Amino acid sequence: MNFIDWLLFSIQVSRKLTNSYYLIMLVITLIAVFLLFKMRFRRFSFNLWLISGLICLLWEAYLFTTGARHYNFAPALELPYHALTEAGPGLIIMILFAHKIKLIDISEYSDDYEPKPREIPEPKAEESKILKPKIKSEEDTEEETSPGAFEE
Amino acid sequence: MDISTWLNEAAYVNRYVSPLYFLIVILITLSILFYVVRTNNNRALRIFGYAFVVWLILEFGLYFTGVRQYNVEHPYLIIMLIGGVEDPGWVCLAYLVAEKMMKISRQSK
Repeated sequence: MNFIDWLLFSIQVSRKLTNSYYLIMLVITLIAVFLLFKMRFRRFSFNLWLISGLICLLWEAYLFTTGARHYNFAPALELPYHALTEAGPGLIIMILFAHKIKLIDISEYSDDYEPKPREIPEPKAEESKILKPKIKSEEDTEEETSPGAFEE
Repeated sequence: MDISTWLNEAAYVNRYVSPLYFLIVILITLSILFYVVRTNNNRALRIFGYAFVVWLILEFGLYFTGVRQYNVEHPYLIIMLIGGVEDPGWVCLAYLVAEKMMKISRQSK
């Protein structure tokens, strides 16, 4: 076997499932929808769903059109169903669970998140002294302007 | 056909991949990781690590329960590549894009 043959060596990855798999995916999708509403991460979760669904759809469509993916029945239905239910909901549950167990903090992407108003720091006492313009006292001005000041 | 009969009917989903496919997947995942490290995105890095563990457990679980089947002599390398490279890669990529979309929508408000 030369290098090119090795590169193109066919590896079959298959899933031995029953049709109840589609029902399980529907249940997982419903759980994800329930969680994203309950935990108030609607916008972020729908973004995740959209992107992962698109990645999955493009990837699967590429595999399918090149003959690398085989479905049991009705690929036109299975392919979008697979993209819609498998990638997004699983990812949403995963990320929300990671947030829940405080592995990651995504509270800034919550629907209830309000950015804190920017605080303008007050200058410190020492800095304010430095920044203040030095007002010359009357005595200083008298010394400078007195006629005797320049006399030897 | 009865619904219970249909539910218990076999539904095979196959795909044919090659070492070339895995080389492309490794390249994509490495470039995602490189971007994450370069932008110092700690959250995305944690998500990659988290997805790595979760998907490896899932893939090994599916293999040992007989749901996943491979036609190669040593399937563990394939499981490592799918569960440890391919899946965490797309999880991390989806998170990065979703995060970017959120930041853009916040800035436009």
